[in-house]
Amino acid sequence: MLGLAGGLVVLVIWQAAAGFGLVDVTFSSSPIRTVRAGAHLFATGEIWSPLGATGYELLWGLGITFLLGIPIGLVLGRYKVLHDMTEPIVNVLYSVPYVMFLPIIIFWFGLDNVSRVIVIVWAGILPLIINITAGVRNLDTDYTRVATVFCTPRLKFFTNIALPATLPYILAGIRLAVGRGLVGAIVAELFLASNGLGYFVQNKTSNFDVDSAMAGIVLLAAVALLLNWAVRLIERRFTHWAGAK
Amino acid sequence: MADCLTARDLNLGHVGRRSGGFTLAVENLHLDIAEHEFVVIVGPSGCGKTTFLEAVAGLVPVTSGTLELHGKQIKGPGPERSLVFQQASLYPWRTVLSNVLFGLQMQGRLTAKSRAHARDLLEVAGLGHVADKYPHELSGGMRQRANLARALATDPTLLLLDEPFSALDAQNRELLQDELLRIWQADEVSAKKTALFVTHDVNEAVLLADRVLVFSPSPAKVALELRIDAPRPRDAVWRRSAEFLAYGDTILEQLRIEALRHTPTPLARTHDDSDAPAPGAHGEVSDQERDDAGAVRLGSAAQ
Ligand SMILES: Nc1ncnc2c1ncn2[C@@H]1O[C@H](COP(=O)(O)OP(=O)(O)O)[C@@H](O)[C@H]1O
Ligand SMILES: [Mg+2]
Repeated sequence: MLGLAGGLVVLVIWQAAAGFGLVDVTFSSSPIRTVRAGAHLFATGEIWSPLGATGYELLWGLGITFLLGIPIGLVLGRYKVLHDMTEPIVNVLYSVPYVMFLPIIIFWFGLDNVSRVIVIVWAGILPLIINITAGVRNLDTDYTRVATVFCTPRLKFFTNIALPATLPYILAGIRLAVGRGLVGAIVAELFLASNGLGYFVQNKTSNFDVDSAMAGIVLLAAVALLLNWAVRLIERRFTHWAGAK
Repeated sequence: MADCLTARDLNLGHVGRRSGGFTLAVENLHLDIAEHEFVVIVGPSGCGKTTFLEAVAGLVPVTSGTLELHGKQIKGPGPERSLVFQQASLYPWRTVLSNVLFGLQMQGRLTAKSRAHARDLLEVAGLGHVADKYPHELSGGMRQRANLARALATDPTLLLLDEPFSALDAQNRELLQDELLRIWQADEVSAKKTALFVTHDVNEAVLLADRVLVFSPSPAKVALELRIDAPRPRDAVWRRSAEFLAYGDTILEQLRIEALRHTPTPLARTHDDSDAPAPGAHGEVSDQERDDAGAVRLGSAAQ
């Protein structure tokens, strides 16, 4: 609630500053002009192509991130040898800004969708793996003892114990992955300059259409909030037992 | 009667997680447990009861010696054994029913029949009305019932119980002791199960057991074997009888002898009642032992 009020204050100050001529609306736009530009973009249908492109990349990028990251994290957390072998690599890859690898990725995979999906996976998968690995390594020893006594086979251990037990870690990791994946998507679009919301905003800004650029940024924020909200919903639905042991 | 479990020259121990050193918890243990027998092991805290039970469950590897189940050396866990853990250790993301079905599910034995058996067990354990609740919505006593029901659901031939009632209040403990005996006697699915029950509560031992084994302080050996010749079902009247108390006194006496034997220096022995910790690891163990025995003694005197 307070966050909403804070946002409102910023909007009012922004609108007032623009209205009283304290800032040049050509460069700064204003909330009202941004909303108007946004409505226009939807009315003409101009926004659908970049929004769709970004959404498509995110769907693939995050999908692959989860599909690969969750099993990798679970396995690395369970087997100490694998964990010790990969830990330095994972940490180095996580510490080096992935933007550094962008030119190489482009060099290898070209300028199309594949490169952009790879950037998203690269950006998102490491925090996910690190989080899940930590979760499995902190697995309550009682859980594993019960599993052992009742003769749990290896695969069933992952699906029936490691996965649900680390779900809070997994979802926290997913939240990080979504945030970083989104940044990855935009950075890739800025770099690869062909389509998507990032390219759209950059393009509008260089054409001095700041109103449309602002509308694009707002839309991006809305996408981020939506993804975050979806993860929170899953969290509330499936981890109600956590913390209340 | 045929032997269910046999231990010969059994040594068990733990490798310290930080130090990497090896500590012996069970030394040269000899024991036999017959089919369908209810055996209770009594010993001071830290003497190696859990270690022994977990070795039988297949959680702790055998260091040396023989530990045979139905004539076969125990090398790991098996579906014919179940362990009731000291802490309920239920999976918090599973409902009570789903926790009870866990063993069957993992062993790929979940059929309409086994599911019905699990349902019956829930009813018998007084958990029928909370089958769809989660563990954190249950009281400590109910969780321990679920723990017990989970172990029974796989219909093991050997049931292992590690101080399952020690964390409960006195009232709940008596209630669950009675229920355990009732369930154990009323088991119809297969013949009466063999039960190996570990406790540091002398009264509990006398109440439940066909035979009591008193363990010495660490490393554990069998210091006394005592057959409890009392008819079942054992009721509240028997629990207050002179015979019951006499059995308890015999066990307590042996525990005290063992505690004194394991006190390392004469100095520590003369300062029996002082709070000063006795030197060395053995001293600590026997201090604890004395506390335990004292507490139990007070308990039985009050009754
Ligand atoms: N995981 C472990 N690692 C190292 N030492 C252990 C471990 N578990 C138990 N011990 C030691 O083994 C001895 C016996 O412990 P335990 O079997 O738990 O006794 P009890 O169940 O009779 O209280 C104790 O001295 C204890 O410190
Ligand atoms: Mg113990």
